[in-house]
Amino acid sequence: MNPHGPRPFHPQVLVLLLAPLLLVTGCKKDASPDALSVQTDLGTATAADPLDWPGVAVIPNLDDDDGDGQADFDQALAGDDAGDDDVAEISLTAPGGAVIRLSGGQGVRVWYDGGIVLSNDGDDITIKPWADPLAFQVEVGEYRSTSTLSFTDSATGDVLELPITGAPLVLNHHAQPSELTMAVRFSGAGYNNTAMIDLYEELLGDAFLRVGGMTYGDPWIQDEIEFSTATDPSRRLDLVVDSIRDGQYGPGYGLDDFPENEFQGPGWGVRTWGNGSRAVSQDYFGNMEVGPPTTVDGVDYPYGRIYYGHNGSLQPTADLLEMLNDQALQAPFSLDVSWLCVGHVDEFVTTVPAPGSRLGWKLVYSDVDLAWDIIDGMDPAIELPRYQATQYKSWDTIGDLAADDALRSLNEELRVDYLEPNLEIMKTELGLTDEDVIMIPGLFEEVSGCGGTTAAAFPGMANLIVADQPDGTPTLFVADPYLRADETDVTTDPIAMAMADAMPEELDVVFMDDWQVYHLNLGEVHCGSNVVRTPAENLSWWQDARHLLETP
Amino acid sequence: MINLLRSAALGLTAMCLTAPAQAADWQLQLGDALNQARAEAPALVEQAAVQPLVQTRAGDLRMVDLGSDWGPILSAQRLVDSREPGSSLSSAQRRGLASATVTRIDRWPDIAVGLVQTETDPEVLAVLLSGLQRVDADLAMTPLRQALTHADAHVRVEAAVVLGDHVDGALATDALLSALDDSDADVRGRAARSLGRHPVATSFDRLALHLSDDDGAVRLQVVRALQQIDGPRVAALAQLSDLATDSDPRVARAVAQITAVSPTR
Repeated sequence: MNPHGPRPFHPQVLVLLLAPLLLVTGCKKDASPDALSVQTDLGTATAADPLDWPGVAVIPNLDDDDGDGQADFDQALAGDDAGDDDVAEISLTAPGGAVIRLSGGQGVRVWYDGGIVLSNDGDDITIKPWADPLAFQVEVGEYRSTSTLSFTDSATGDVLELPITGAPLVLNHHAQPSELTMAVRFSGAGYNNTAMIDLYEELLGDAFLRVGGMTYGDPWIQDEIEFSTATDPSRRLDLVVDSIRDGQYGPGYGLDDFPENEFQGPGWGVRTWGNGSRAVSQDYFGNMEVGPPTTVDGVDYPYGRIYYGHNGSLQPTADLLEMLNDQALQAPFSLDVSWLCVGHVDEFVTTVPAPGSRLGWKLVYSDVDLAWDIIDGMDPAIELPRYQATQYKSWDTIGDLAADDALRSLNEELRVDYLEPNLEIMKTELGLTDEDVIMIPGLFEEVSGCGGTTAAAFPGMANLIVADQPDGTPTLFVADPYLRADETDVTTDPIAMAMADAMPEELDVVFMDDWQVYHLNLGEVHCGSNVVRTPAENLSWWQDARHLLETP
Repeated sequence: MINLLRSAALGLTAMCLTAPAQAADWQLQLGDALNQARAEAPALVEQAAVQPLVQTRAGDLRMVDLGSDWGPILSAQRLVDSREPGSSLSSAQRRGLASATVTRIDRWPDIAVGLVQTETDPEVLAVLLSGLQRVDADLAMTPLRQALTHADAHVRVEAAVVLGDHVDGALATDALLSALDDSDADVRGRAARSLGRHPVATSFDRLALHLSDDDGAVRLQVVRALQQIDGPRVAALAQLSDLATDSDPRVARAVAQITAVSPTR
C-alpha cells in the first residue's frame, strides 16, 4: 500500500514526466498527420476507424493484490504495485501530438508511468508530438462502468473516441467446470458430517476444501457466499458475493469472515450488497441459482439466467437485485417459495450437465406424484431404521409413510399450488421443453412451528452439488434418502435409484449421508456445500452477449 | 336425600380433582418415563442434559437428535426444567427443545397435552401444538380449540394447521369456522385449508363469504376448501367470475381449473 495515498495529478508533474519527449521534439520522426492510433486488447483504433463498444474492456480492480483487506481500486494501488495486473494496457501513437480527455470518469483512472494522469470527468492531458507508442493503463472500479477517452490529434484536429467498459459480474452455473468444492466439517461424537466430508475428499482430492467447523460453527456455506467471475480479453476476476446473512447477527458471526479469510487476495475480491440488519431467509444464497445458457423467445443468454425465490414481498435485498439487473447478462426471474419453511429455490429445483442434449444441461425438478408412485409400490413392511432412530421423524416403515394421509393431502396441495406453477415459470423463463426436464421423486412435510410451511420429508435429492472429479467426470453429490432397510446399500433404495437412473449417463451419481447435520436441520447437500467454477471457455461477453449489454 | 347430597359432593370433588390430577398425571408420567430411560440408557440421559442446540437453515435452533426412542422424553424433561426460575435458556433455545419433543411425543399423549397446557411462551407453545397431531381427539381437541383463540397469532396459526392434519379435525369445524374471522390472514388461510381437509357440507356458506378476503392466500385456501366440500356448487358460484381475474395468480389459476371442468347441464 502506498502510505501516501494515490499520487496526485499535477500538470507540472506531467510536464516533467514527459520532458524527454519535449526535448526530443525537434528530432521527431516523420509521421502522417492522421496517424494517431490507440492499440487495445480488442484491436487498434484510429479516428477514421474507431473501435466500437466496448472499446477498452477491463475487469474492475476489486481484488486485493497487497492482501491488506481492501479492494485495490479503493487504494489507487495499480500504479504503485508492479504486481497488480488488473488494468488494461492501451498504447497511444500520436506523432502529431494529442489531447486526451476523460468523460464520465467516475470510477475510472488512467495511469502513465506509475502515476494517475486522468481520474475525473473533464480531466485532460496534452501529449507533445511523439512517434513511439506511449503505454497507458486503464483501471476501473465498478462492474459495467462506462466512460470515454477522447483523443484529439493536435496536428489534424481529428477526434478518436474510445469507450471504456467495465466488465459485467457473472454468477456461475452448474454446467461450468468446477475448480474447488467446499464444506464445513463437524466432527463431534453425536453431531458430525464425517461421512460426507470423507466422501468429498476421497472423490475430489485436492479439489475439495475442508472448512473448519470449530472456527466457523456454521454449516450453511451455500447460503453465505456466491461465487462470481468477471473477464476481459486478458484477465479474470473472482469475486465472492458475500450475503448479508451473517451481518444480521453482528460482524464476525458464523461464516461472516470466511470469504475474507479464505479468498480475498490476488485475483479475489469480496463484496456485499445490502444491509445485514435486514436480512431475511430469501437473502441466503441457497435462494439464488443460475440456469445454464439458453435461448428464450429468440434471445440468447450465453451465461444463463439467474432465478431466486420470493415469499410474498420477501425476496433478496433490493441492492443486490438492482446490481444483478444492471449486469443485464443473466436477467433474473423469481419463483414462489412461500410454501417452504426455509424458502429457498434449491430445495426443489436444480440443473445438471447433460452432454449431448439439446441445451447441454437439464432441469431437475421434484415430483411428489413420482415419489408416491414409488412408495406405494414398495413393500409396506420394509423397515426404515434411519427414520426409526430419530425423534424428528414419525415413520417406522414404508407402510407408515404410505398411510400418512395428511402428508398426501399436503403434497397434493403443494403440487397444484406451487410445484406445477413454478415448473411452468422455469420452463417459460428458461425456454425449456418437457424433454429438457428430469423429474425426480421428492416429498415435503410441515415443519413444527413454521406456520404450516414445509421442508423435505426425506432428504431432498434436488438439493445437490455438481462437481468434477480429478479425471474430469462430472459428478452429482446427492443426499441419500435412506428409504430402505439396509442403510449400507443404496442400490436397494427405489427412491434413490429412481433418481440415479434418470440422470444423464455421462454423470456419476454419488449418494451422501447428510442426515444429522443437514437434513434434520432443514437443509441438504447443496445447502452445506459451495463450488468455485471456471468461467466458460471461448465465451466473451463483448462478443457473445453484446445484444444484452450494448446500450443502443 | 343424603345419598343425593353425597353423590353431588363426590361429583364436585371429582371435578376439582380431575383438573389438578390431570395436571399432576402428566408430570408423574414424565418422571416415570425418565426413570425408565435412566434404567435402560443412563448414558443417553446424561448426554441429553447437555445435548447442544444447533442452527437450522431457517435460522432457528434445534436440539441435536439423540437418535433414540427416549429422545422426546429427554427433550421434554429438559424443556420442563427450563421453566424453572433462574433457567438461562432463551426462548429460541426452548423452541429448539420443543422441536425435538413433538414428533413422537404422541406415544405419551398425556405428556403431550400437559406440555401444551402449561406452556406460557407462545413461541414455544406454537411448536408444541404439533405434538398433538396424532394424539387422540378426546385429549387433543380441547387444547387445540383453546389455542385457536390464543392471544398470539403464531399460536393460532399452528392450532389451525394441526387441526387440519389431525384425523379427527372435523370435530373442531365450528372453531375453525370462527377462525375465518381472525384478524390475522395466516390464521384465516390455515383455518380455511383445514376446513377443506375435513369437508363438512354445512361449512360451505360460511367459507364462501370469505372469497372476498383481502388476502390472496386466504382466497386461494377458501377456493380449495370449497372445492373439497362441494365442487359442482363452487363452479356455480357467482363470485367465481371475478376470481377468474384475481390479482393473485394462484387464485386465478385455481378458478381456471374449476371452470375448465364444470358439470354438464
